[in-house]
Amino acid sequence: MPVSPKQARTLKHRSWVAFLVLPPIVFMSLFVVYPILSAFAYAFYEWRGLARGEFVGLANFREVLFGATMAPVVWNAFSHNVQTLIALMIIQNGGGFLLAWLLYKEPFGFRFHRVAVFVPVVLSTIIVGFLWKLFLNPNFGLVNQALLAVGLDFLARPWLGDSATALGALILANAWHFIGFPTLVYLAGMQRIPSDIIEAARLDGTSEWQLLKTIIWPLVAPSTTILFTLLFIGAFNWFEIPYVMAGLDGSPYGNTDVLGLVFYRTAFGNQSASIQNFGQGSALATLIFLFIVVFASMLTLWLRRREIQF
Amino acid sequence: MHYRREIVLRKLLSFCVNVFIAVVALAPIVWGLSTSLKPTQKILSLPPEIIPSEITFVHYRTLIAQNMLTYVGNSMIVSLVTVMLCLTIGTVAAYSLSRFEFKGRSLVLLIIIAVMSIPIASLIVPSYTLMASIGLTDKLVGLIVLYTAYQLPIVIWIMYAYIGTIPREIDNAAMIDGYSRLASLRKVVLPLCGPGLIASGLFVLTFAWNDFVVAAVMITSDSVKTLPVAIYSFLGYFGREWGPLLASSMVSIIPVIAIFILFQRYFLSGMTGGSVKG
Repeated sequence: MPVSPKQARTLKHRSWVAFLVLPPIVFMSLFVVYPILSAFAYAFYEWRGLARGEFVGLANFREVLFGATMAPVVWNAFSHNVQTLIALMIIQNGGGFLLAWLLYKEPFGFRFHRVAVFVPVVLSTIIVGFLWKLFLNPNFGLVNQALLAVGLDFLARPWLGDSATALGALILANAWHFIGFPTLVYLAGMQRIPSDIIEAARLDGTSEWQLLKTIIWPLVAPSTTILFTLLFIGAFNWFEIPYVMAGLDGSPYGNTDVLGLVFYRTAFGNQSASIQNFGQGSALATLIFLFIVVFASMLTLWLRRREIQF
Repeated sequence: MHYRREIVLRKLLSFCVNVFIAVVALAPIVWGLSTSLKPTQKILSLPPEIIPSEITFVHYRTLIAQNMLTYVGNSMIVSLVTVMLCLTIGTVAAYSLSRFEFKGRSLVLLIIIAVMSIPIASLIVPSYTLMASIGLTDKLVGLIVLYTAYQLPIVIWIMYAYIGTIPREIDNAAMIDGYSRLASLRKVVLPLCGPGLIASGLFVLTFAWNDFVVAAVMITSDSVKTLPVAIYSFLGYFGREWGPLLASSMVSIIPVIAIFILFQRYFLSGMTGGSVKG
């Protein structure tokens, strides 16, 4: 059958597109989409180590959410994830916004500072956790020694061993690690605001606070959307900092336990307790994933709508 | 005059705040570097010396005796191959997403966003069983494959936004001049993509170089350990010996910091061109 020139062209066009777009799609489907779907399936089975047993329906989910042994642990961890989210929202994203504003005004040496603020972001989380563990060491750590040196002895304490301060210390280490990211994203957002708007406001005698509140903040709303969504995903995925600084059990006494640690312990077992339950681990992973996807997309939609309102 | 003085005061104040921030951001790294160069008996001496009076590489030599070079080599192979794979596959895909109209184009974009928001932690269990069933656990190839799959969406996303800012007329003109599609991508569009490539390349590089979670689960043999996994096992092995521990941290962080500082200008412009548009 003869092929018309037009058909030939669309055929050629199609094979081009297929050739160029298929490789990444295949990669992502095989190694991201397929695994996440199979995790969903694993959660409905009983597991002995890594061998699949019988189909048990929703039993694993029920145990994770309401069971006598799992549920208290899971909900305790969940509450720590929520606290982390709120604290980082204020310290990391709010602080990043203020830092961006400082850098936006291009003080002396701002190019250097812009790089300095971002340097911790490129470090490995393992190393950040380790460095902060050293700083917070009760005997030799720089933090306590600095407090003793300036006479604030009563403030010195085993930061990571004290139930009252452990989670906060982890949150601060995380903020130190990542604050450069929101700073740069907000800075980029601010640089996109036409400068005559800011100058006009300045000429009208708007105070700095008013300027930030009524002009800058609303106009960087797109950056806020991205940063808050990423932070939401990050806070419920939090794993590496607690793992390195507080250990797999979220010591002291589960005061730094987060969902990521519970999941890891359940799915892969714990050296001290060596209880491994792959099915419950998968159920928990599925629940975390669904929770993040549902709430992150709701958050994004809400923040997007807020962008338009402004 | 009064007005000018206020401006000077304000500049001075914001300068001081910025210096404070730079100190907070950099001090831990500087402290780590200086401690890793001190002889063991001086590490805990008070007051701590910022610039060590006596410099020694003994801790770095200890690391080399502990196979450090193998781990660094493994991390370099994994990072470089992942960056190259991601940039080639990702850029070509971003180019065709940006230049061709075809059915399912928005579906592809949707998949990319969905994949970007999947938490890596929830992928660990199923990825492990998948990799075990195709025999890729405990191999560097396995890590490369997973890292590429995890980082492709962000590369495509940044490059899609970046290529979108390059006018179509440029590559059309090149094709009229007799270039093929691929030649016009390679010779005309790519040279204009510098900042986008650097921004996405740095994202992939820092992920592959720093990843601990995925590697910790997939890798068990010593000969294929990557740097973060090795450092984590050092934490147990060296216990309270801060010298070798901090030296190993420096081996991990100095290359990324150097690369970032080298490319930071392009990184900043590439990132603001890409990721912020979302």
